[in-house]
Parts: sequence; structure tokens; C-alpha cells
Amino acid sequence: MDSRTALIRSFTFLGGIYFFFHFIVPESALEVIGIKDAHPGISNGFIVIGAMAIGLGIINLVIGHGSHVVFKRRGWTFSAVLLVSLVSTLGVTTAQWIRNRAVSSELQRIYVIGEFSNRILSDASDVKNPKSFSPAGELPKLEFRVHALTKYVREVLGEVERASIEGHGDGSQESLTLREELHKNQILLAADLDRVETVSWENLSDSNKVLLERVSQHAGGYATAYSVIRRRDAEQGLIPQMYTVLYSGIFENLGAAMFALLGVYIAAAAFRAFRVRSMESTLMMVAALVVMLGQISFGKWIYEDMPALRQWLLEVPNSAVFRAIRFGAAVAGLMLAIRMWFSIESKTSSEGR
Amino acid sequence: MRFSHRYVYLLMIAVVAIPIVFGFSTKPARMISAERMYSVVENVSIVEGDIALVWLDFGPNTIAENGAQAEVLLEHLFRRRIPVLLLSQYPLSEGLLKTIPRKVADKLNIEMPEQEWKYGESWINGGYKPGSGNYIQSLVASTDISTFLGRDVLGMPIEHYPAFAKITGVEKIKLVGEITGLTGVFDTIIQFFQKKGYRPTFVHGCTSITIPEAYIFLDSKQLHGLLEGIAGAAWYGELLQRSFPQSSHKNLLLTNTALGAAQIAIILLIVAGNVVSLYSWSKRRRD
Repeated sequence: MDSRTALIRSFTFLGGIYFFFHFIVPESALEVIGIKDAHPGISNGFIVIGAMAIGLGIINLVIGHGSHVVFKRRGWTFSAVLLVSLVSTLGVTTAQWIRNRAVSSELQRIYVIGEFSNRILSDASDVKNPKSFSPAGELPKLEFRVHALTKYVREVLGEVERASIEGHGDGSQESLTLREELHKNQILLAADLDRVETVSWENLSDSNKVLLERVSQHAGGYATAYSVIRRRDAEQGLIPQMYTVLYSGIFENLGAAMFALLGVYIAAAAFRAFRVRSMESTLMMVAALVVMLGQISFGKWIYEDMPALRQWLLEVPNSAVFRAIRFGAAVAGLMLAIRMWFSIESKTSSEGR
Repeated sequence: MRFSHRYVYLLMIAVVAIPIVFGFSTKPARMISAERMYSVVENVSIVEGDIALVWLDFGPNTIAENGAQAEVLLEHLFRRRIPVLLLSQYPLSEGLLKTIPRKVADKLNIEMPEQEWKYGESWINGGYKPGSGNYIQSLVASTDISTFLGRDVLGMPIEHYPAFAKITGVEKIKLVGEITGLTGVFDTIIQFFQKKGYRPTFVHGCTSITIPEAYIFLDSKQLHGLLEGIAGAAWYGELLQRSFPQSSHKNLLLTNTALGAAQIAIILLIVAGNVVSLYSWSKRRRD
């Protein structure tokens, strides 16, 4: 056995033994040895390794079909179509992802306003919290935090105005209503800020509390209206339209058409191959007829209780048989898992023999 | 006897197309498992902070069946104002996670203009999650699912959406729905979406091919309701219409009728095939 094979075998075995013990060892024992806290991290590591298969798949496709195209092997045009589809879908979805992230980052800057004012309020109100506001506390003074808040809100409001979002939109009534809502909240928020700047913030009086709550409330309304507008704008660009064409226009229809062919093949097979030649095939045909007729509207025209008969067939004989099949498959699956665990099955491990 | 399969293909196309083209639909057959599912969804009790989790684990290939199931389930949850977190274990469902809830919300917004169903309140899209069983185990073990999920597909932290900000643990998920045409995906949820003291109320939508497998879990009560193919979705739509008379599922009924006609055609083809075979056999014996 070479070192590479030994390494693969060892990792496979360790991975298997880890999940085996994690499953059978009581939770209290896992807690004592510190596995319980580490498990989510370990589990995520396995998920990441699994996700790498997507990358491997892409590399495999590019190598396999790329060589077909380069050397113009038989059917190379299909390979070219596949590669073009892969690149265009990858490009469009990546561009859309980047765009969504950019919009989300922009929106987060606005959502923070409400969270910031709420945090100031909760810190200043919670006297039991050692980190809550007090003149000698660890947190910055209330006055300083409120000043930072107003400065930040003015900055954000300025940014949104500079983005001149009024110039965008599809001109629909809904779009105009949303912009009106945004404008209304903007005015209310600006008015709140003017008031915040004129009062003293040495202590959190009741009136100051109400003022900060109003800032939070209007900032929430402003953020919601702005996010709806930005999302709508983001959905109207070229990239989302290209995505819609690729996914809903092409991929969905091709996928559905491929699966629909199955129905046609079943019909052809029903005529050409489904012969009643034995007791077993007669039983199968009767069961198939009852199940089919029991789930369609026309079934009860033949026999009123057809749906109930179908239900009985599925619940009783079918469940019994399927359980037996599942038990058999589970035992086979267990054997397969053991063979994989001990690397008996894989080609890599057998190479050394 | 020589017979071209092209005639069979033509017959199938005609049988499926006629009800759709001429807008002819019939009342769907009663589906008892769909009734159970309707009752389960109708009786889920939630308080503020509770949500439903729906896995849309299907792609365009089974959209005819699974798409209709997802629509009726989401419609019911939206009507009940239960916030829905959408996730998927199947990468090809990525586009459907966006379009299906949007379609249902648009339908309800038109039906009831005085109310609103919108992204972030009625539903959020958590997107495709790789890792299958490992991911589900981590999700279930998490004591703060909002943080565990991180961001939605738009890149927004889940905590920004008030209805989804405080999913403190899996106990907050009052209903788990799973729509798929794949084998193995559904079992993973049955197997791992549980922990000590918590078993979800679980409903499932499957394609006609996977119905037999789903029944064993329905029988063992690990599954509380089942939508069987288009027929199940059509009956669920019928039940929705009884409770909400303004709810219309015209296209679903048309598809269900077309499917019924196709099944009748298949039955007739089986009978015809056997008659022809019997005739040929008797002719050979006579000769």
C-alpha cells in the first residue's frame, strides 16, 4: 500500500468512526469530552468538502467537453452548447449575486440606524447591565453616542439623496407610492434629528427616550420603503432579465419537456409490453388500474368507492411490501457503508493489492 | 402485428392537449392523505416568532407535479399568515425558490388588495444548502437558527427580518414541509430533523412515482400529511376553495383533468395491447 492510499484509507476510516461514535455515544458524554461544542464546526467542515464537489464537477465538464470541442470529435457541437450554457449561466448568476450583495450592503447601512438608536436606548435604560450607560461606565457617554447617531443618519440621508433614487423606478402607481412613503419618512427622520440636536443628552429623560424611539420608528419605515425600492430596481436590470430568460425561459421548459417524454414512453410501453400472462401480472394490472382510477376524476364514475379502495391498497399491501423492500435495502446499505468505511470497495484501496 | 409507436405518441399528445386547449376540467378525486395534510396545516397553532419551514427540493423536471404542490401549500400558509422560511437541498431549485412564492403572493395581493404579502414578512428565501444530513443536523442542534442561517439569498442578514429574527431553536419551527420528486432527500429529513423532545409536524408532497415509498412514513405517523402528485395538489386546491371561495386553481384543475385523460388513455392502451396480443395468439393457434 502506497502512502497516498494509506492516507485516503485513514481519512475515510476516521470520518466514519467519528460519525459512528457521535451517533451512539450519549449526549452527556459528548459534552464532557468537549465534542458537543466542536461538532457544528466539524460538521461544517464536512459540508465544505462536500460543496467542493461542485467545483470538481465543473472542472470535469470543462476538461471532458472542452477536449471534444478542441479536437472536433463526434458531437462536438453539443459539447460547445453545454460549455456556452455553463459559462453564461455561471456568469449571469455570479453577476446577480454580486449585485444583490451590493444592494444588501447598502440597505444594511440604513437598517443600522434603527438598531443603533434602539441599542443606545437599551444600554441607557438597563441599569443592571454593567456595560450600560452611566457617567462613569465603560461605554461612551450618552451625549457622545447620540451625536454619533445623528452624524451617521445625516451621512446616510445625504448618500441616499445623492443616489437620486427619484430618477429610477418604472413609473407605476405602486412605484410612486413607495417613493412618497420614502420621502415622508425622510422628512420625519430629518425633523427628529433636528429635535435630537437641540436637547441636552446628559441624562436619559422620558422625553429623550420618546425622541430616540421616534428616530428608531421612522428609520425603520425609511429603511423598509428604501429596501423595497432598491429591490424593485435591482429586479429590473439587464442581469435579472437574462437570468429569467436562462432559467424560466430555457432551463425550466427543457427540464419539464424531458420529463414529459416519460409519459409518452409509458403509454407506448403500456400498449407494447404490459401483457397479462400469469397470476402475478394479473394482480399487478388490477392493482395498477385501481390506483390509477382511484386518483382521477373519472374513477368514481365507474365505482363510487374507487378512491377509498386505492387508499386501502396503498396503506395496507403497499406499505407492507415497501417496508420489506426498505428493510432489505437498509441491510444492503449497511453492508455497503461498512465496505466504504474500511475502504474495501474503492478502486484506490484495491490498487495496492 | 406491426404498429408504429408514433400513433401512441400522437394519441397521448391529443388526449393531454384537448382538456387544456378547450378549457375542460372536472372535479378532482378525493384524496384522503391530502385532506389530512390540509387539516394539519389548518390546525398548526403559532405564536409570534414561530415559523414554518418548507424545503423545495425539486427542479424544472418535476415542476408540473411539485410546483403545483408547492403553490397550494404556500397559499395555505400565506393565508394563515404563518411566516415561511424556504430552503432547498437541491441546487436546481434555485430559481423556483424565487418564482413560486412570488407567484402565490402576487395572486393573493390581487385577490385581497387591502392586505399585503411580501418578501421578508410572509416568506424569506434561505436558498440552496449543501451538506444534506450534516446540514440538517447542525440546523436542528442550533440554539439560534436566525444566526445559524446567516443571510438570505439576497445577502441580507436573517435578523433584519422581524418575523424571522428570533428563531431561537428548532422548537420555533411549528411545521416542516418538503416537496420533492427525488428519493433519498425526503428520508434525510425524516431521519435527522428531530431531537430529544422535538419531533416536527411534517407534511410532504411527492411525485406519483414516489407515492408508494411515502406511504410507509404516513402509516408510521412520522409524516402527518401527503400530497400525491397533481391529483393531491388538485384536491388540496379544492379544499382551499371550500374555505376561501375566492381562491381559484383553474390551471391546476385543467392539468389534473388532462392527466386523468392520459391515464384513461394508458388503461385503454393496456387493454388494447392485450386484446391484440390475444387475437394474434389465437390466430397463430388456428393456423
